[in-house]
Amino acid sequence: MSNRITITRRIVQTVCFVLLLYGAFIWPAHLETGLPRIPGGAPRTTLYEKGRILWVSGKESVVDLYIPALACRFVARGGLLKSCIVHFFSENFTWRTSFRLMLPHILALTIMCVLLGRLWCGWVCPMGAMMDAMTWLRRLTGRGRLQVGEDQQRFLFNTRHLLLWGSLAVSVLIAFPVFGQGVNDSLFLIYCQFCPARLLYPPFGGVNPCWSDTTNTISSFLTGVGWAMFALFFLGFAIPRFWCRICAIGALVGYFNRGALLTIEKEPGKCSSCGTCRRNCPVDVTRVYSDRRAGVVTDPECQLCLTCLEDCPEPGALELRLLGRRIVRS
Amino acid sequence: MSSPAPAELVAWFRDEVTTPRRAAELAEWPGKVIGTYCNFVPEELILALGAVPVRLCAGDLDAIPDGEALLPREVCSVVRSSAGTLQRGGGLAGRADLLVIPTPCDAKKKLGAVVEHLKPVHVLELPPRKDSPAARAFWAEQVRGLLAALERLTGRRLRRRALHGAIALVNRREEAFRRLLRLRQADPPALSGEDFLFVTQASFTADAAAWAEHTEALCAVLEARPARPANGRRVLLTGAPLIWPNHKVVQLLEQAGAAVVADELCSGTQRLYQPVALREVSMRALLDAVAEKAMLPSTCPCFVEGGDRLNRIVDLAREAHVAGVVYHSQRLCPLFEIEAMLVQKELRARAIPLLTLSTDFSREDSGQLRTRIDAFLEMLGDGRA
Ligand code: SF4
Ligand code: SF4
Ligand code: SF4
Ligand code: SF4
Ligand code: SF4
Repeated sequence: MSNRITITRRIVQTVCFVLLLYGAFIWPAHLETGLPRIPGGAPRTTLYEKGRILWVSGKESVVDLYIPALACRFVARGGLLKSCIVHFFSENFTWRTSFRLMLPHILALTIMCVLLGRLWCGWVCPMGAMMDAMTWLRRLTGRGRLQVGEDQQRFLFNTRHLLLWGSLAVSVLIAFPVFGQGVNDSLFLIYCQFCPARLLYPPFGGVNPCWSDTTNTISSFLTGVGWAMFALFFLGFAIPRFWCRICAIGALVGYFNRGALLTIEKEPGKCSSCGTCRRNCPVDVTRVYSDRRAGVVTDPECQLCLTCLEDCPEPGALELRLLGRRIVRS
Repeated sequence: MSSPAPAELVAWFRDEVTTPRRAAELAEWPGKVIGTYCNFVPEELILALGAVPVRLCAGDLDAIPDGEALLPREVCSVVRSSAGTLQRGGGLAGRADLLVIPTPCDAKKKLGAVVEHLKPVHVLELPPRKDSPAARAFWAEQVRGLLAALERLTGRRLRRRALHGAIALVNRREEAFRRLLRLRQADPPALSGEDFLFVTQASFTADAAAWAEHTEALCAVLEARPARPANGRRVLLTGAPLIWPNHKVVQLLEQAGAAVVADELCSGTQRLYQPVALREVSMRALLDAVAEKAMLPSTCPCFVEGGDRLNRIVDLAREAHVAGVVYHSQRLCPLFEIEAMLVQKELRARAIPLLTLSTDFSREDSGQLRTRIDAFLEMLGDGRA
């Protein structure tokens, strides 16, 4: 059986990993994209001071571009790209950035999402690549994965949508401001505070992230949550792409998946119901198998890794299409 | 150096099916031989334990009287003949150390009980529906039960690497099979329908690696051969399995000038069709993959779900550009007789001509079948779809 797709994906993931984490070392000078630069807004936070939870060695990213997957502001030197989609909204809601400045970025993000859906997750995100590496290592040892039951899957699904909308709501509340200055500071970029990328990425650039911040009760609590999430990230050894099942970024990009221009389409007449697509999906998507109607079978959870398409034994049963044009088929 | 003629290469498969060659080979062999029925028995498990699987489903008219000592005459020919082959002893059936009998229908459910005084039997239970969460759990359990029985018999423990190797071996066989399938469906077909059945049925008993090698060699020769003029009206054969020596229906069709370029028989195309694509490689994952492969893509009419079978027939008909479909209905088998009606409805809706032949192993109705086949082929016209 051919594994051309998997090999291509590994190469793309590796290149993206290097670019996203070391891009600022490769191109140290700032480059203009033409998109408006968003100035740091009010309330001015103290959390960027050394020792605080959001401390980062970063200065400025090479390019002021936000992308859907995990490009992260906590990459050493500010990274190649500005940050992820959740950070973009959290920060700019809190800063009350003018809509005029945000709009071009929102448009760019929307185009990226509408065009490629969660291909970002399957092919670009460095955290996804790290989890794939964990899975690969586990398989080398011949150990099995933990199964995620339907109830657990539903729980995780609800959790990440709660995290997404909860975090965005907090960002808006800070802006009004509903809380006092100290609380505001400590709740700033609340999703970043427990996103594993905040702790994971800086070491790749030789920077020590802030492991603990005990300035007040809130920061101590969020430090704890951050640790817990960091630990959960390593559950990726037992469950393929475990963090993706919690990640709010994936949840947000997932909204575009059904309507994206990049689609997985099925020809049910060719499908032999062998179940391979369901059994081999790293994030346990069942729709590709169970949907018996012709047409798009991309699920909000699907990361377009194309494992199903590659492993499907029936020629032409599954196809990847962009704007209706076939790119690759099973 | 000229390459061998296809007929010489097919002879190896034909001999495997029609002569006692394999029985003689295995008579000397010290290991365990596992007799299986249907396609539901995961051969990977047997191979991984160093045993040899042989599918014993029988098509022998002469064995039926012996079968009638054990079973009433209201049971279908396949099961009476299978029981008769065991009753007579000798051959591969006599050599088997254990029989693994799935339960697709009432007759096969009880086959174990009527032959267990002859041979040790392991009954492999099938769920009525092949894909509900409960059915999957039940089937996974059944496959593990079979594994335990095989481990007891062989005195070996299944090793993960051995199972992985067996899956790779069977995948190689399946890959060669699909290659042959393409040749056979080509226009003109590179192989007659009956020869294709010989090649497939040789895999019932042959050593898996040897079968794969011979099939690869056959494919290479057929692929290199210049295309010959098309002959005969292209038809798809579906319905109950044809098992040597009961090739009556396919023989009559080809004698009448039809080219059986596709089939959906469990003794034909469905036999080796499905490969196993692995990602997870733990023991549990391998067992689950093998279990799924043995059941999920099955088009056997024994399941509540019938859609996959209709789907497959329609897809094959389109893919192989056939002019019509011939349905072989097994007399006394309610499953195939009922599905004949469903297939008829589906094909009529799609305006695909269908001929239903209800018969058994006896040769008495040959003349009458031939008349109906001739009329059907005539109705199809020149047969170009
Ligand atoms: S869902 Fe997974 S792949 Fe997608 S952004 Fe989140 S961590 Fe990355
Ligand atoms: S820490 Fe997470 S949420 Fe924050 S910018 Fe980095 S990737 Fe985005
Ligand atoms: S459904 Fe297919 S493409 Fe989507 S995540 Fe699963 S295996 Fe990958
Ligand atoms: S892997 Fe392909 S043939 Fe098998 S169930 Fe999925 S879509 Fe159908
Ligand atoms: S049709 Fe079904 S029950 Fe009959 S021999 Fe084939 S697999 Fe077994």
